Amino acid sequence: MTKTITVTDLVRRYSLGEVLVTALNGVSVSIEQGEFVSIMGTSGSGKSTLLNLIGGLDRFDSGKIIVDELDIASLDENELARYRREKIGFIFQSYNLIPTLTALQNVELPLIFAGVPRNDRLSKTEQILRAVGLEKRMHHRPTEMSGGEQQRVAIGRALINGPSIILGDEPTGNLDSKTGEEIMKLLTWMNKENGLTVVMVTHDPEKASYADRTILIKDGRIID
Amino acid sequence: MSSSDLVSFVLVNLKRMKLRVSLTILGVVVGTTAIVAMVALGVGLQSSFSKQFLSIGNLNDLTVLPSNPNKGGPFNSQVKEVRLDDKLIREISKIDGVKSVVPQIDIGNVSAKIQNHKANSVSIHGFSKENPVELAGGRLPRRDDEKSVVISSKFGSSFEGEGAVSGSSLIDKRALLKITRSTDNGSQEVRRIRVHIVGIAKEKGTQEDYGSIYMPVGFAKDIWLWQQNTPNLIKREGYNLLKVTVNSPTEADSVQKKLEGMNLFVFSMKQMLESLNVFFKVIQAVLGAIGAVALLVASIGIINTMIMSIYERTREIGIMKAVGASNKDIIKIFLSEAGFIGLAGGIGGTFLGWVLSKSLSVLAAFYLSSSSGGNGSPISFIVPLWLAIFAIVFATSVGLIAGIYPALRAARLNPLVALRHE
Repeated sequence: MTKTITVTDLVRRYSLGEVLVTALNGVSVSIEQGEFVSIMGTSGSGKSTLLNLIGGLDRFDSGKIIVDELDIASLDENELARYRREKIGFIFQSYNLIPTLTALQNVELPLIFAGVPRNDRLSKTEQILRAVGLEKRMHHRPTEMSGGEQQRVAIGRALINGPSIILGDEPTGNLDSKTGEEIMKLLTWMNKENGLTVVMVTHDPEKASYADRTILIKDGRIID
Repeated sequence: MSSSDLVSFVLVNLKRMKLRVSLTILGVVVGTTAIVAMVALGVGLQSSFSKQFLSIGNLNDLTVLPSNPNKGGPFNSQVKEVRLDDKLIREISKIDGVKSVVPQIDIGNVSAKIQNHKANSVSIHGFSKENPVELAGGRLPRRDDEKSVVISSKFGSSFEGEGAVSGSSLIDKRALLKITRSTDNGSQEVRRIRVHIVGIAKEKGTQEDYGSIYMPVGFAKDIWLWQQNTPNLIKREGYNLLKVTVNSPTEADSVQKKLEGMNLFVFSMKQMLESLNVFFKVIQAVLGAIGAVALLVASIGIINTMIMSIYERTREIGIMKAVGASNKDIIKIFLSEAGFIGLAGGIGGTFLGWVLSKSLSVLAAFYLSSSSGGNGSPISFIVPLWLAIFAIVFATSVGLIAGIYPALRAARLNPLVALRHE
């Protein structure tokens, strides 16, 4: 199997006021294409930082991240935006939907930034919303939907540009166990049926068990 | 991000902060209104001054005085004064573009009697065939020797001890002119001339409208020579002034140059009007700048609104960046919002400025026209098309410029930091 993500000696430090915090302290990991990997650790262990760096949301101090032969550190702001737009789909714990836009418009948003013409956008968006089971909620705003439904919208938004990697940061963290299970099934479906690489951060061993492999992280280092 | 997507995106964003955006737009409206009304006043002043100015003479006319003050003349005895005699008139007539050259003849010390109406302090002005007095009624004299005259528009108001007589009732009446001259021994001589009133002149808006009589220059010259009572006057001293008429205003400048080359002092309406126009351009710019101060204040309002809105939407900016919006997309969104505020305010302000200009013109006409002799109000507000377009473009530009800093701030946000913003 081909490696899609290769992380080598990754270091990321934050300054919190006067204090310098080392979030990642030399992390190396590789993830294969089509793999479903969960990253586990306690809060503050650096697991979210690793995910954000893979997704190109933040810069790191040293080390290397190669995604599909692309050296993330070498990308400028524009190329990084393009990388997020074309390769990555994010799913967040708090859904991160835009409150003034409907489900349809939220899912459509990445297509607007990708410059897809209006007519093509509509059919594609509706198709995705049907796939995540929201065909009846298309014109509802986030406040009119349950948490599970909002997370489905977010999943639809992550899928819309046809990325190869889905990054989930505690995607079930705000949901009850039944709804969380539905979301996990959706992620598994994306991984198994569509061949997407899924990397998910969680602190819940039960959710982590959906993955093919679990990486344990503690104090900025991988321990297993 | 396509333009149509951008427009709908911006409208959605602006709609959710209706009150704040409306107040910010109101600021731009006030600023733009101030600019439009101020410049409209400047344009109106220019227009009414130009109109008054052109009523004194027209752009084809050059007035020639004996010498050129730039090279000496009356202020420098070293340069010999050029005499305005008949030989010079013939010379000037030969210059390309010159239509006619006539001496300007004005005669005072005249009184007139028409039937039983009597007018003292009448003045006589000569005019040429090529450049006749403008008529409001009647006709012009046909020949130099016809002894027919045209009276000024308000001649009927200049009679002694009686109310105004309508000018048109005087047409076709006979008038007796009494011209007085002083002789060498100090006594006075009077010459009486019977003339036929054939026309009435158009109103000029000057003092000349009262008690003036216009007659062909040849006829007037006879009377003038008699009154001056100096043998060989024209050969020895020349006329006071010559009026040169050119074929078209475009030829005025070249003719003026040639005349100045002949050591003559030339006064041209065209040049006067041009410097008057420059003066009014400066006035308009100053008035516009005063109005622009209000728009400057409004632009601070735009910056404030945009910075507030970016602060409130920080998380959204993070979301947009996470799903692939480039910095350029973010800049476009916020610049467009600021530009839209400027555009909306510019359109509103231009409209309001136009309404204000119209109302102020009407008010000014109502309160001021009676005091200016019914010749229209001296103060009017005029909004030409260029001003309306300029105001809208300017307000939009101010909006865009005010949006630069907030937009750059939004674009520079770290997506991760923005996503964590509550």
